[in-house]
Amino acid sequence: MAGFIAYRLLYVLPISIGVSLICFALTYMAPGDPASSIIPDDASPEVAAQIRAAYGFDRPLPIQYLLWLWRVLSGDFGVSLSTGRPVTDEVIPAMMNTLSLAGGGALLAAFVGITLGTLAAYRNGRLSDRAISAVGIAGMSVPQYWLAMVMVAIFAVELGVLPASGMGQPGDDFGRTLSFYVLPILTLATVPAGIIARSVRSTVSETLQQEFVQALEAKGLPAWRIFLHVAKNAAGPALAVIGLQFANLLGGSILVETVFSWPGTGFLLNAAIFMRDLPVMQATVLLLAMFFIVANLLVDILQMLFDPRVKSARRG
Amino acid sequence: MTLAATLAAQESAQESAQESEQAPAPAVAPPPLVQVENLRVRIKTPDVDVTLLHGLNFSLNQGEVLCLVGESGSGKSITVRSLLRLLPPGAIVEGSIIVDGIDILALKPAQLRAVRGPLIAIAFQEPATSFDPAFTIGYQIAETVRAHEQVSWADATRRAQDLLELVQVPSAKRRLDAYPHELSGGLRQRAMIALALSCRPKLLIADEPTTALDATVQIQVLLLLRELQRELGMATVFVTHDVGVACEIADQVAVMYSGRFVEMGPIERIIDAPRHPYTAGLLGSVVTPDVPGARLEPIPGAPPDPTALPPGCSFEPRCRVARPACAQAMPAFTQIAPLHQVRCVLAASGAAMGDIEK
Repeated sequence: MAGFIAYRLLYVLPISIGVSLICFALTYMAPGDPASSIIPDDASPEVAAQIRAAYGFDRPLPIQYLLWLWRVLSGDFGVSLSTGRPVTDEVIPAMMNTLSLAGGGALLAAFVGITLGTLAAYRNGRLSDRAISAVGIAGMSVPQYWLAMVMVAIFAVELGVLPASGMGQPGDDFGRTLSFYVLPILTLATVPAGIIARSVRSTVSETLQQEFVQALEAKGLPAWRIFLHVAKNAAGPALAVIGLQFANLLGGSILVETVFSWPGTGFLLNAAIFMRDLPVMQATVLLLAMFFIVANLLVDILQMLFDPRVKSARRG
Repeated sequence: MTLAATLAAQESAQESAQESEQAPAPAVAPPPLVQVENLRVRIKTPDVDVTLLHGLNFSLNQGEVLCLVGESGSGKSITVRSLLRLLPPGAIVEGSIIVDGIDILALKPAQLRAVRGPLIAIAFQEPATSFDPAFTIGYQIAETVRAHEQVSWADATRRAQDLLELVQVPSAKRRLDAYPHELSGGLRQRAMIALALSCRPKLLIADEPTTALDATVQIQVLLLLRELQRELGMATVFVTHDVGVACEIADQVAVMYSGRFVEMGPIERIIDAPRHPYTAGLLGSVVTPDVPGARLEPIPGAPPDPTALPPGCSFEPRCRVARPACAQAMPAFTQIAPLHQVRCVLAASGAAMGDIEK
């Protein structure tokens, strides 16, 4: 088991290096000289060269990459070009805001998706199964920005029961703070809930058709014990989907964060792109990618815990 | 009481049942452990409507082995699964199945659960897919014990270890923590038998338990099963398509074709003097070491589609000695000797199959 985890961690290393290379290359993929956004238009060539030297843009690319990587590893992402504050001060709070939103959305989506999917599988082919499948497809297909605006129109504008945007004030009580989460989390959870419900339904109904389920019935086990067996078998594939959806929520919330003015990474990234604020873009993309990698690692480890065959298959 | 006597009494099954109700059964004739009468199974779903079993009668005493022999699709598995009511959705079961005085078809779900395991247990054909891959062997045996008896996990696990030792799994204690995929096919089937024995069933059903195994492992498992069956005094219904396997283990053989018994009797009689052409055909397609170089004679054709059975004898289209009358009506299952029943018009003439073909 420890060996398996160490083995998976080894995989993470080359992926992380690849991701860092791409983030570093962002600077050069953007049109124009990376320094041109800092150098005033009317600066003399001497001043421009001075500025380039100060940022290290005059050195060979591999050296620039290693220097940049070293700074990143020691937690220094540079200074935001638009605000002049250290990038970490911008990105870390945004990251926390996004994480809490994505975490809440993933939990809600997983809970709703697993419950509906399992119910549908057990009611295979009956009316309730078809109703759940229809709801699932509707959930998967609804455009997030549209849903976000409809929710705001209903709950914030018409009924006035929930705040429409932002995170509230620092001094708000717990209930008030929580109320700001409701609409963004509901919006975020809808699509992944539909996807998870459909995938859980097919996994569970596949498991129910396996021979060992009949063997469990032949042993005279009560239904809830048989469900434990089914659940453990279906857990691996279901977790893989849930993990992927969580990772998607981390990065894919730009629209939702923009509609709800939620100060998270999506909101920040959106702003950084418009301001051509490269250090902020680099840091945000790098951190999101790292979260993606860690989420996948955790899913792999959890899958191994549920299905002993994964361990032997991946080692061999 | 021998099975032979049971079979002889079967014609008047109703009578004997009444007898045993009215007066305490005489010491010479206790009621059989298993009594199946006019068992019919029909699968009816929106897509299919097919009758798979057309009225089976058999009984089995404690400690005896009945082998169901026949080709794939003859209804062997459906027959034994009916004993546990382990049938696909849409199955309609008619007739009566009495095991140890319990009317299986009348049981409510909770009562049925209580019967599965302690009274009737089954060892499946494919141990590879019949164990849950996500739990250890020890857990799956112990969980079965705990479903039926008030024992702790520790005691149930100890019982699991004893059972694995009973079925001769080497280093049983270590295997408790093994997952099914970590065992070889032979060991998995032994573990499957241990699981079936975990609640000391009175009736063991073995649904082709050796079919998925190598020939050498097959005979080991077969010998083990026979030994256990004798040691524990279980009644056993053994399903196989292999007459050679039946010879090893059976007291009594019932040959099935298209959802009916076509011949039933003690194993020696069936082997030495088969009276149904299908039985003779099955025996002719087995390799025998006594006659080296003998030609195998396969039965021509394939079993009929259960949704479109021929009007007369189901075997008539493939039968080498068929008469015009055979295509008219299904022959009755007639007793030709005190313990020997055959469903063939030619059997009444008294000639053994070999003679007719000559």
